[in-house]
Amino acid sequence: MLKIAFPHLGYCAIPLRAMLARLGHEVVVPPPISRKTIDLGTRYGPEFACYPLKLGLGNFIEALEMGADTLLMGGGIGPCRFGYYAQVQKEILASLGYKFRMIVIEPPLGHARQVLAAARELKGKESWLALAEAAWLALFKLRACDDIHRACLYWRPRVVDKTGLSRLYKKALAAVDRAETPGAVREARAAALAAMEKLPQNAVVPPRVALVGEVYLLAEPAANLYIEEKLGNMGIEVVRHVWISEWLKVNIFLDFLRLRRREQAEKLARPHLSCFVGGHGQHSVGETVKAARDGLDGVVHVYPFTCTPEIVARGIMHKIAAKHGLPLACFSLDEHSGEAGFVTRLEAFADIIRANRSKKEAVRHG
Amino acid sequence: MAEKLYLGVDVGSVSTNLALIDAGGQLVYSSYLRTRGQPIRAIKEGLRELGRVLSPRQVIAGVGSTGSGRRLAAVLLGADVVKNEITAHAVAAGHLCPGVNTVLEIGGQDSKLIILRHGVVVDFAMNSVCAAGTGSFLDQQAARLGVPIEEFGRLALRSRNPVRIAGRCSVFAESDMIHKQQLGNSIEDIIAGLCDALVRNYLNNLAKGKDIRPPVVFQGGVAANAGIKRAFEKALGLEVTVPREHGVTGALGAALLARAAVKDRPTAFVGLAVSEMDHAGRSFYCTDCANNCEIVEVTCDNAVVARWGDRCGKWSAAAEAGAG
Repeated sequence: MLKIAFPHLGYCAIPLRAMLARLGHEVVVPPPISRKTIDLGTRYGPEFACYPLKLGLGNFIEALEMGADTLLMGGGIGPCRFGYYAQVQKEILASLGYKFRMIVIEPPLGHARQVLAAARELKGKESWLALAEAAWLALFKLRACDDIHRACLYWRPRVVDKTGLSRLYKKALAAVDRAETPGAVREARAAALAAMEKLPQNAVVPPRVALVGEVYLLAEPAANLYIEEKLGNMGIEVVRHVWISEWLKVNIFLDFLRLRRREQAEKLARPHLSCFVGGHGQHSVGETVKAARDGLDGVVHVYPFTCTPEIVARGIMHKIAAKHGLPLACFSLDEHSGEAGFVTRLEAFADIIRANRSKKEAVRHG
Repeated sequence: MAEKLYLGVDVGSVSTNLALIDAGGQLVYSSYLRTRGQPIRAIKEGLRELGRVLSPRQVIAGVGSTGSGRRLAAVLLGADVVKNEITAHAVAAGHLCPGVNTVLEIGGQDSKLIILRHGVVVDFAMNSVCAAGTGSFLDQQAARLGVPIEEFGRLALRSRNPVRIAGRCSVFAESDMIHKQQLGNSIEDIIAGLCDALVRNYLNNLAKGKDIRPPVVFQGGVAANAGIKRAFEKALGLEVTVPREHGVTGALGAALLARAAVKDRPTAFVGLAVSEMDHAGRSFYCTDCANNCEIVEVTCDNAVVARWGDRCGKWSAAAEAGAG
């Protein structure tokens, strides 16, 4: 039995905990990312590493303090630097005197042996079938969380009582967390979606913006300064195409089956950015094209400060956005991001979106 | 009949500005006060001064607030509209200079670039990492050189041969300026060099990839500095207009927005007597969950009138219930 911990990534602790607990491990879920997590991560992490390394490091330190003896982390092969973060974090934590083992999950393509070794370690004494069952439940929970979150993005600009929606959302995730079987997960999901739909709504049709960028910044609200909630509360619907379950599908399964090139966002990006630049760079470009094509009202781009793939994408996105008259706001975030300036820019962006909307409507009715 | 006036209040990091306009949008009164880290006091002082010049037949029919202290100002005054400073500046620029396509704005601790087309904002940038080119730095350097800030621009214009100053970082700029002084360069040339460096910094930080087209308007406190204006004209190759009201454009924008906001409803303005009430602000960390939100609380005569900063909404809701 391992006392196992992992870094936070939005609500991913829910499926990960389900899977690891099913395999008989003691799961140490680090406390939600707080000022303390950020302080720990930035104190011991290299200054110019990106925010995901620092926050993950903070999570690990807090988990080790709670008694974890095994850390689970993702790997990668670049060009994005994330691929070596597990190694860097391991070195830093060891130099701080912590005793632990680290299990790194590498992308299966080209790393079949490492992946198999990691799976064997996680499986412990359980059968391969038990591992498959645990992974299946985890995937089920992940998809349910993604669906609940997607619904919350849809309803936030529409409902009158935004804090009521937040409460519902929190309760729904807790229900998914408690569910023991795929059937119970399905019920929790359905109950949450039905409850959200019943909240009193405003009559207006909200403007829609695409939220694109680096996956960690998209999926971890504490890292993106709760940008989805802020935009939604301003009456703007956030449309997101990068989801953790999608990301797994593309980066683990399609990649492994060598079907990656069929992925839509990457296809749309190719005329503007023909090669993979690491992380979600190509994706961000493709989604900007898609936002213009789908008639969305704007694009918001978030990425960690010093993120090379997204910086490459940003220059290209500006050109695409300008060509289509699509408002684009870019936020490069890390521990130094001041909330006041962030909110000011977000509000000004929302003003542009609304002004465009009323102009369009005037044309339609005039 | 009473004359209706509209008040805009811009609570910035360095200054708190008031602008009062009439129904036609003409600026009838404005004031500029140093915030000195005490926004509540600055707002009240501004209101007291305003109360002294207002005639009995003039009424304030609408109030708007903007600037980094916009929320606090809105609570204190009972503002009809609370608007971010980017939109407020754009509204003012469009009002003062119809057809404007580019707004350069440099304030106490931030700078902005706003791109408009046909009177509508289409793009903007705001410094997020560095304050090297802003008013605070100019203030500090003027003090170090022993030159009153009001003289800064005039001296810059007298320069024949501006020196090149490293402008990327204010700390390096300062050491570079000291170095140039030690070499014996004239103070005019150093000041002009500093103006060029700040403009270079501004354009590098904010204007990359932005379509800057004339007419260009330059506003904010730093627009009073003729040296910076000339440096902008040189760098852009365009004529730059500084409106007479450049120091209070944020407040003017807020006043214009307030005028629009009260078209179909009465004002929420508390009244000038607010300057005599006892307001206080404090902040604390909520420890009820792991979010550890920093809650800001404003009290008026010892009663809580507003709270914000809580993600779950429980503190702000309690304050609203109490105040309502």
